[in-house]
Amino acid sequence: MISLCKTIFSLALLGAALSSDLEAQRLTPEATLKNGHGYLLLAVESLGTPPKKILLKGPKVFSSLSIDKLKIGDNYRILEVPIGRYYYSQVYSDEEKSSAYWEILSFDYYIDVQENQTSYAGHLISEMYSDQHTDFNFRNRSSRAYKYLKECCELISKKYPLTFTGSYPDPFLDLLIRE
Amino acid sequence: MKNIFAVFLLCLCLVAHASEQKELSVSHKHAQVFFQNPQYSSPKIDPSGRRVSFFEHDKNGDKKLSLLDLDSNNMQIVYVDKLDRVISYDWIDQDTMVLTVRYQEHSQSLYKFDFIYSDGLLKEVEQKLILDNAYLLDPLSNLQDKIAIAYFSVGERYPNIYKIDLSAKNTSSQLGGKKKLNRLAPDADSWLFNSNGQLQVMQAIKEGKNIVWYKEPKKGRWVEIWNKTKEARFKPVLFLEDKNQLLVLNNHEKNFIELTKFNLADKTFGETVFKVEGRDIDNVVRNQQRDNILYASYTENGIVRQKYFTDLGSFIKKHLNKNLNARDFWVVDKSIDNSTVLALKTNSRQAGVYYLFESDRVQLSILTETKPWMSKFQLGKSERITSTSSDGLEIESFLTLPANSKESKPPLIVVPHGGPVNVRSNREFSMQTQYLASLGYAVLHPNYRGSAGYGKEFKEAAKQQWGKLIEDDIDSATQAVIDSGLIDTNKICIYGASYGGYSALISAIRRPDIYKCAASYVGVTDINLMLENDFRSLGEGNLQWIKKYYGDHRKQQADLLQRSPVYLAKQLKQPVFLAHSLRDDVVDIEHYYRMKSELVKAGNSATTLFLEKEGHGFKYLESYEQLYSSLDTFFRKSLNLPEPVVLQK
Repeated sequence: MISLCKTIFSLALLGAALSSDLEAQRLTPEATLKNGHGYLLLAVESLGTPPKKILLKGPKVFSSLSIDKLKIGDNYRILEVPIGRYYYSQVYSDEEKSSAYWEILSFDYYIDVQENQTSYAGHLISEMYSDQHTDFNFRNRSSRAYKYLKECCELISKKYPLTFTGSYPDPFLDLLIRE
Repeated sequence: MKNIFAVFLLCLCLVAHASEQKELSVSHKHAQVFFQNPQYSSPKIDPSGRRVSFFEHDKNGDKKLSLLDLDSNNMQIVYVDKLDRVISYDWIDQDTMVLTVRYQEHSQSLYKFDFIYSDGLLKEVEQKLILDNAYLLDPLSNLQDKIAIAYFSVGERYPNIYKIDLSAKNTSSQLGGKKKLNRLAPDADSWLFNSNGQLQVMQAIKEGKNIVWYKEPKKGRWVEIWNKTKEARFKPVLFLEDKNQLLVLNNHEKNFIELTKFNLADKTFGETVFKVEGRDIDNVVRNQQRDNILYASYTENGIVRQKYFTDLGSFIKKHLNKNLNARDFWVVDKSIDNSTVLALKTNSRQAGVYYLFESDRVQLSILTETKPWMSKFQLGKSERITSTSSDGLEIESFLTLPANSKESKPPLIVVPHGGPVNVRSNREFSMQTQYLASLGYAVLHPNYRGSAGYGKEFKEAAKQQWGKLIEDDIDSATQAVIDSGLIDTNKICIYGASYGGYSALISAIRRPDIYKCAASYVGVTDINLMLENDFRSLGEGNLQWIKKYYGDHRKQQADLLQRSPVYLAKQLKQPVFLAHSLRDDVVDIEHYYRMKSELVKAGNSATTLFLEKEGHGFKYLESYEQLYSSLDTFFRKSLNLPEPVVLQK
C-alpha cells in the first residue's frame, strides 16, 4: 500500500513538472506577467545539424525548460518564467536516442531572469557538424535580440524592456534603446 | 501562345543577363582578373631530386596534383582534386607521398599515394587511406616507410602521437595505447622529433603559459624544462643529441629573439648561434634529416631574409650573384643530397618565379611563374619610411606608390594591420596592396608599436594603447607621407581588418582632419564586448595577459567605452564602410550590427557588405573580389575620385 502511494505521488510530481514546462511555453507573449515572473528571451543559432531539443535547468526543482523544433540559423523563444537563474544544461542531437545529448551545464551559460523585464544573456551557438565535431558557444548578440523583440512583440518590448542579464555588465542595450 | 511565352521568357532572361553584366564595375572586373589562384602552387622536390610535384590550378577551380620528371621533362597528373579537399602533401620517399585531405568541414584524413614507374614513366598511382581524424607531423626522412602522425580519438581535444609504418597492411593495429608516443605525457600542441624519429620535446601554450617538456633518454620520463608566461618566447627548433642541448628561439632576458643553445642537463642557456642587431629572428627551418638548421629568417627593411646554415647559402650565392639578386631568393625545397634546389624569387613587385638549380649540371632554369597575368599591369613600387610618434618612438612603415604617381599626386589609403600585437606588415608582394596601386592609390602600411619583429620593448609599448599611442604611431606615419609631398593630402582614407578595422574607425573619429573616410572589415567596434564576449573561451590564464595588454574591463569599463567606436559613433561624420563575415569566430558579428545601428541612429548611412561564407579573414577568391571592388567604389565616392582606370603596361 505504501509502495502504491509512493508511485502515485511520484506520478503526480512528474505530471506537475511536465505541466510546468508546457505552461511556460504555451503562454502568449502579450499576456500580463504574474508576480515574481519575467520574460526570458532564448536565442539559439544553429550551424550544421539543428539540435532536436535543448534543456535549461531553472532556479527551482520544477522550473526546467525545454525548447525544440529548432531550424538552421537563428531561433528565438519568449517564455514567461519565474524569476531566477536558468542554465543551459543539455543539447539533444537525436530525440530517438535518449542518451544522445551533450552535457553543457558546466559551461556556465546562464540567464538571470528579472521581474517585469525581458531578460537576455546571449545566443547559444550550436555547431553540430558530426559527433566528433560539435561545439557550443554563448555570444552576446543583444542588438539582434533587440531587433527581434521589437519586430515580433512591440508590446512586450515597451512594457517589459529587454535587459542584458549575462555574467558581466554590458551597457550597450541602454545606449541602443536611448534614442 | 506557348511560343509567345517562350520568347517573353527568353527576353526576360536576356535583360536579366545584360543587367548582371552591366552591374559589374571596372574595379570588379579588374578584381576578377587580379585575384586568382596561382597557376602552380606548393611545389616540392622528391627526396631523390629527380621529380618536382606541384598543384596546378585551372580556371574552373580544379586543382591537379602533378609530377614533372626532370630527366624526361614529362609531366603527368597524379590526382584531380575537384572539391579542393587536399590540404597539403609531403614526399616520404621517391615513390611515396602522404596527403592530408579534408573529408568534412572540420575533419581531415591521411592518404598514402604509391607511385609505380616503368621506363621512367609513371604507370600507376595506388591510393590508400591511412587514417581518419589525423594529420602528418613529421615525414621522418631518416627512417624508411615511417612517419609521425597526430591522431584524434572521438571527443578528445589533444591528439595522440604515433609512429606509423606505411609498409604495414593495417594502420589501426598500430594505434594501441602502449604504442602512443605521448603516453603518460602532458597534453601538448607541438612536438619535436630527433633524427632517429624519437619524440623528444613537447610544447604547449595554454592558460597564458608557455610550457616545454623534454623526455629523459634513459628514464623515459617527461621533465618540464620551461614554464613561463607566453610572452616570454621559448621555441625549441632542434634537438642536438650528442650535446644534450636544444636550439631554441628565445628572448630570455633580452630585447630581441635570438637562436640560442639550451643545456638540458642544468636548464641553462648556452651560446648564441645567430642573432641580428635590432631585429627578432622570425623563424627557423630544419633540414630533412633533422640534424641541422637549413635557414633562419628575419625581416630587414620589410623584406624577409634567410641566413643559411649549411653550404646551401654559399651555393646559392655562387650560382645566383652573376645575373640575379640572390637576396630576393629563398629555398622552398631541396633534394636530400642538395643536388637539386627549388627556390622562389619574389619581391614587392614580383608575385614570384620558381627557379630550379641542378648542381651536378651547374644549371639554373626557370620552372614557372606563380601569377603570370600580373605582368600586364603596372604595379606599384614600395619604399621604407620612418616617422617619430608622439612619445618619440620610431615607427617603420612601407609606402607603395602607384606607377602613375609622377603624373599626378595619388590618393592615399592607410592600412593598419590586424593584431595589434605580434602581427606585422612587410614589403613582400601583396595582391591586395597591388590591386589598390593598380587602380591609382598609394598604400601605406605602418608597423605601429606592438608589431612583430621589433623586439620585446616595442611589443610591450602597445599595452593598453588601443585608441591611444598605437593610433598616434599610425598618424605619425601618415603625417610623414603628407610631409613628403608624394600624395594628395586632401584625399586620405583609412582601411583595415580586425584590429585594423578598429583602428580605421577610431582614427577617423580622432583625426577627421586627416582621414576623409574609414573602412572596416571584421573590425572590433566595442572593446568591452570583445573582452567579455569574444575572449570568453580563452580561459583564466589568458585573462591575466589580456588584462595586461587590453586593460581590466571590469575596473576600466568607462575608459574602454570611451575608446570604442560604437560609443563614439555620433562623432564619426565621415563616410564609413562596414564589412563583416557571418562565420567570424574571432570578432563576433555583433560588432558589425552594433556599429551599424549606432551609425544609423547618428544619421551616418554606412556602406555595408556581408560576406556569408567567410570567417575571420579570407578563404575564397570571390571575397577578395567583392570586398576590394566595393572598397574602390567607396573610396572613389568618398574622395570624389574619377572613374577607375586600370594601370596596364
